[in-house]
Amino acid sequence: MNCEKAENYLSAYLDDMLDPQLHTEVAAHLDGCAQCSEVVTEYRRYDTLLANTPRVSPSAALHDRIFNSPEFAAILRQQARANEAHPSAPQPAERRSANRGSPPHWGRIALQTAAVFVILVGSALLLKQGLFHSGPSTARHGSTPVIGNPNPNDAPLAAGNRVVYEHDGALWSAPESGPGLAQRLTPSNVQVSSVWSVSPDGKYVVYAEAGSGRLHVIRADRQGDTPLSSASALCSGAGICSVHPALVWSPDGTRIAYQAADGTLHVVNADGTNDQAITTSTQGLAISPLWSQDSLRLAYIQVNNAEQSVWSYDLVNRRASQLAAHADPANLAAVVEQMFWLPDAQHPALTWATWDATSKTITGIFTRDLLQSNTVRLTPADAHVTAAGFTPKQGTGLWLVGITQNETPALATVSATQPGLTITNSAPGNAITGIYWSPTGNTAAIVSEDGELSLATQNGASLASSKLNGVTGVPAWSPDGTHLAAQISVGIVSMRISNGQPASITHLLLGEPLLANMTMLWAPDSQSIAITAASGTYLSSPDNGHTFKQVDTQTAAGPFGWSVAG
Amino acid sequence: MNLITGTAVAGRSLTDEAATKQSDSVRERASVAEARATEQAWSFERIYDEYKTPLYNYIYHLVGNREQADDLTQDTFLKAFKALPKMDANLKLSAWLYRIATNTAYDALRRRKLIAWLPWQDLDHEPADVESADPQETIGTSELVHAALKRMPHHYRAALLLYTQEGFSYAEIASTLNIAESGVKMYLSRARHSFREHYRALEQGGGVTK
Repeated sequence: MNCEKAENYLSAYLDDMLDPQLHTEVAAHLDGCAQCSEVVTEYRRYDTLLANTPRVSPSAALHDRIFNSPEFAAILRQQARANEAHPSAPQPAERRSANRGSPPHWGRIALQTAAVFVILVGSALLLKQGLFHSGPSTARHGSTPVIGNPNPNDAPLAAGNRVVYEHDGALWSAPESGPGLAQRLTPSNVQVSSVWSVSPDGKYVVYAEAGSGRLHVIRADRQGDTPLSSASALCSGAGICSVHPALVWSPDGTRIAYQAADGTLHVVNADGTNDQAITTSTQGLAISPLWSQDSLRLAYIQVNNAEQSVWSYDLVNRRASQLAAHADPANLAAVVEQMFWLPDAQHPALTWATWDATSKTITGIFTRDLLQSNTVRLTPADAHVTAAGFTPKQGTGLWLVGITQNETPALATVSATQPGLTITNSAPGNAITGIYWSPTGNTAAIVSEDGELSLATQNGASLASSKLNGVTGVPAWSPDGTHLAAQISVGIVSMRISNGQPASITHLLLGEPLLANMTMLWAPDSQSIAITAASGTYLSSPDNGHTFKQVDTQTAAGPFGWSVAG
Repeated sequence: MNLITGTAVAGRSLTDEAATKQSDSVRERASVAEARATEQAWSFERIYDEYKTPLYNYIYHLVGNREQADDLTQDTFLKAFKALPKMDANLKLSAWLYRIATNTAYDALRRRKLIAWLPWQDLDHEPADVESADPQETIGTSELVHAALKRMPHHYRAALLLYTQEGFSYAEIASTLNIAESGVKMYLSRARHSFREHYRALEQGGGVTK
């Protein structure tokens, strides 16, 4: 007997459930096979582990819930009647309830089960085929209980915060509060591309149709879907532009910047008027549009022959100016990894970090004051920077960087306006690969090469004593900076942060297979987080009694957005 | 409520060993309808007392949530009480109750795909956990067991739970899950294989350490 065959019998062998001949054969194999013996030993260990897992008992209240329930009283009455009428004959099960008046409670439960089934079937259709809009006409006229609106695209979605995401060529929207599940946001006759964006106030969603790239704006309550007539050339198909799909609302919500099929950037008013190209295709591909806080400028990267230059477009005098002919003049292969406007809107300045994919290092951090004529390199040329994170919340803007100095990782700060690097903490351990500031700028999450996440305060001078390990991907800060969610190897956890220290930890999703491109996004009120996993899409509120709902059986195909309906 | 009358008559004849160990009186018969109903209530109490913890524990491990386990245990007992008087006298009570529990839990697991806010208070952790040095302690063994079970296909999970936690024989598992005894061999083999894979993966996975 070989291992492959033996493996099928190990479990029954352990239970002594094999016939004697087979038992002897397996025993003989185990004698000579350490690997299979190990499996049997482990099975035995797991059996013990399972047998010894503490039993959980119901609360004492369950007794009264059962025996004082109307259902139990009905059972007693029914038995008394049955015993009177037919002292020994079995009673047929109740089957009348669905069609006659005044159904008994179990009948109601059966009805609810039927309703659940309808939801399940309806949603399965909805999810698999996008048929929510054009469901079978019998659903509208027949006696089948209709759950929700048979023509839901005509009905406004419930008001409140709603998470938005895309899969299967449609955008879906699910409410943060209440039991509501995901409903289709976009019309059933429109195929949606992966390019879409929620307006800054959350009230609108702009999206590009798949194929044509035509832009639509729809209200967050799925009313008033409007194609923007002139803006119809968004690069949404395959090809180079899909690598950097761009659709960005200006912070004041009046304009949308988008990338057209020819690689140029356009700006269009949110009502579809005044669509204009701000770059030309001869300059190459324009990517990564970034609005200034006052919505008056749009920074972007121009890519030509794989070299990147940094630009700003002034919407007042309608002029583009080149801020840096090369993102990193010392390394022409380096690409812009991060780019931010400095917080002082009166004094416009742009800062960016460049990345070299070959050496896997940040080759430099730069700032260009728009009122000055030259770009300033902030980090010393010989600094070995492995990660960088920017916050506009500290002074004139502050970078926190992970460096390696004499083969020892350390944290350092870099002012966004002054060259120089100040080491704040020498942290032995593995190289730092990610730095993520809380939105409030009080705490930064530091992720190292081996997946350890630690929390840094005082610009990296103080590190929390506890670490989270096994972290993959990018952690997600709540907008108020009180929670940090991270994907670890056994699932997704959320830490409540108090004074830069993890105060408690909650498992949001445990025992889920990991997704390579896991996305998470906290609601604007920081109460709930949208997460997606192989088994579906979820909303979780770690603080509000730790509620958790699965809004969709499908995985979100891309990032989340939060909208506000009503 | 006081449904215990002290009379040793009851409406059901139950031959299941587990049930009869403590329910000898349940074997006897009633003649008066009213008394019989009262006695049924009484035997319901006995059944509840005997099975509340094992059934609740089983359901809890199937669905992974205490609040839902409460609801489903209630559903299970009420379904059983309603159907019990109509059941054959040779009913194997234990396997039958677990079958109802299994079906009730499976149904809920199917429904859960789309419905409900579920509290996961049993997976919450207090600051002490963050300070813990050993990942196996942080995400404790029983939680690893729980998480590994959760990753398994639910019919394998049910078979493994019935065998290891409830001490069911292959024949009893077959009766409970409504499958052939040879199927139990296959279920348990795959269940153990699956549990081992998931448990090992979780054991080697990350946690919270100081």
